[in-house]
Amino acid sequence: MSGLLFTPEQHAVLRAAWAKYSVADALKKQYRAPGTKPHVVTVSADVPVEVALDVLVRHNINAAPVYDASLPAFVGMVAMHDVIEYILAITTTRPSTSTVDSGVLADDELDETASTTAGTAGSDDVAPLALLEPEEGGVNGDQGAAAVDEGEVGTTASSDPVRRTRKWSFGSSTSTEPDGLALAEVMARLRDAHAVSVACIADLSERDAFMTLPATATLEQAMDIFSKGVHRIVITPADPSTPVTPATLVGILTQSDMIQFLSDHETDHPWNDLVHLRIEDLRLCEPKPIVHVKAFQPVVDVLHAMHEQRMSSVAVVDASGRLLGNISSSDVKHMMRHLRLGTLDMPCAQFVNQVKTKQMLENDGKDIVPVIQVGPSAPLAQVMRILLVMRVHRVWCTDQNPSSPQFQAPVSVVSMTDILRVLL
Amino acid sequence: MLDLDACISRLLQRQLLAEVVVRDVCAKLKEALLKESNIQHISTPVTVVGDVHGQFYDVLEIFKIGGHCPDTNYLFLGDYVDRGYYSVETISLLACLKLRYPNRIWLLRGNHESRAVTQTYGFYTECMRKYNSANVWRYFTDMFDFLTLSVVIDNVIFCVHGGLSPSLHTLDQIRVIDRFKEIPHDGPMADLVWSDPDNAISDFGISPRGAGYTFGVNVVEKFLYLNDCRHILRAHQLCMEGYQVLFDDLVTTVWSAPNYCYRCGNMASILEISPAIDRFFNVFGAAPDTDRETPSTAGGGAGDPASTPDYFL
Repeated sequence: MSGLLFTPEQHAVLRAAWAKYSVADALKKQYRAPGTKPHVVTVSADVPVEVALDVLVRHNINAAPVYDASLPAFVGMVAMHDVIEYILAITTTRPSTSTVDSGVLADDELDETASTTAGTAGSDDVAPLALLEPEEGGVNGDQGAAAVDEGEVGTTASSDPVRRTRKWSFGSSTSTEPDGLALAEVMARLRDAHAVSVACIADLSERDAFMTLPATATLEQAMDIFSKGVHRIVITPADPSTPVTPATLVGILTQSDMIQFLSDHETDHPWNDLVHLRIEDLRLCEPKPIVHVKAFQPVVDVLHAMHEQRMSSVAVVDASGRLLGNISSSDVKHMMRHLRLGTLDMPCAQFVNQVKTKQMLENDGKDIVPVIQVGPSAPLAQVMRILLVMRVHRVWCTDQNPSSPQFQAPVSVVSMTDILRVLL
Repeated sequence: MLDLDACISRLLQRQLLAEVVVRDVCAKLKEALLKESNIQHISTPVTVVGDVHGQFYDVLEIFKIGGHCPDTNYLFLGDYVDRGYYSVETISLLACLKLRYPNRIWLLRGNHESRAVTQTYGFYTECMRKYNSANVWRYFTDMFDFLTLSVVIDNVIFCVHGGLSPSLHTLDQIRVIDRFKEIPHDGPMADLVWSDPDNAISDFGISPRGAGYTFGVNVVEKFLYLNDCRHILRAHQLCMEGYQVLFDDLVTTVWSAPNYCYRCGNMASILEISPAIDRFFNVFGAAPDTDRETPSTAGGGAGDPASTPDYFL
């Protein structure tokens, strides 16, 4: 990518536009209603992981701040990727066969390095995955509560991936050296079969650090954070002398909220000039490495891919590399209520089928497209509308030329982070 | 030499056709469908059937209550496969009937008559399970490329699987579409099979399905006026009562898969249109369990269900 997309003057205009609004202007309505006590879903640090997961599922959110009343302070965020790493840790691990490459997908690639670092299966019995009681009525689909969770290519790695994956292997103990107190505690407790409290896994994956802004901050400050790949910002009271507790949190600002704000203001200057541009003109669909698994691979490979590649969404492709669908950590969350250990062995295509069936039943029997995709000439406004209406965090850009040998192979993916990065 | 009567007779007993027979049926059917325009004109009396989604026993029920083909003329609005347990038998039967009685049964293309969709929603998996190869899936999905997109009954009732498109105002515009390909992810052909009417809007809106559009009464009135039609008949949407009439009787949805996915508990219907263009919605429920077998869910097994499986996903 050479050359600037916008001139410094254009960037200055954009920044000034964002600076005119405060974070309160973009927060979901439920957090702004006067008089009512805003309800930010938080989790107490001492509850078991299974309970924290249940909170995420019940409120249909992908992350929640974790509060330790004994300190008292917020100690981090628990998010679906933390839960996924926990699942991988307590189930029999196996070599990962996820792959990343740019554009063209070759047949059967087994990533040898990934398989040796993914962790060796212990010969001991590992504790079976705790079974959550399925709740009648299904998941709360309240749109207001949904939060963005997905990662994207190129997030800054805060720790050495090789060292991190070694943390999770518990085969021969001589080769593994858990890092840090929290990890050692997790491992010890697993061996003693004690319930693991959520504080032990919050922020474990070291992504999505707990970011905050006061309610008086501007959207320019929020955009600075979001464009680095952070997906949600906890909004704290405007008055700095107010203690920050679960009861005083003002709300959670997400990337979805920013896209909604943009969509609501798309006729305002300076955004009105930009939303009609095609995503290829905004350089949003340049070929990039796509994390993918083959349709017949088991779901556990998807979880490994999410963990190793630091992605929250993994493409599922058929034998010839065509995009069939994708599995995101949101999907894993939705299926968690009925998760049985056997689910991890299920072929991805079948898992996608189950997720889509569930969505169909919640959508008045209407089927959804297998792959939410756009072409490179789609205007930004249309892509944003799709993200909002479909409540997804990325759309795929696929090869649309029927005579190309890569027809319907994934070429690129446009995520909310990509869009927000361009508009600052 | 293909003995279609023998094929049909086998299929009515839910016996699969051999792979080479499927290949020949699909090859011949493609030749026949090639001659059909994107808009086929047909006449009443005709019985219109909505989505059946591989629910073979309910298709048999339809023939029981609506009359057998060719004694009754049928128009199927698409979505023959996916979700039900007998997509292969269902589409095999309809393909043979179409080949045998080309002017007594009409088959439209639905959004599920697509390679991408059938790989996710069950048909591909079922073909692999019942034939141990992807060939049958390929023969059928290649044939789907030839299915027509719409029908007009008696010059006044426009029939399509999904709905309208912002790119298509006249029937002539539909006629010039090149339909002989996989359904694209957007554009007029995608819209015809994916769109839904919505009485909360008056024009076009973004569809929560991720393809096609939602469309309102203004769009419908304009389309009917421009094309001298009186009504739009479509399927594509689950109706708890089996059918739904919208926009002050300008649009009808027909749904023919009772107890959809074997768990929705909905009714189904077929629409019988007489030469005087009288309508009769023949509503029916799922075929009694005693009349149907259901496959065991314990994976494996090429096809023949043993006895009692009562667990559906």
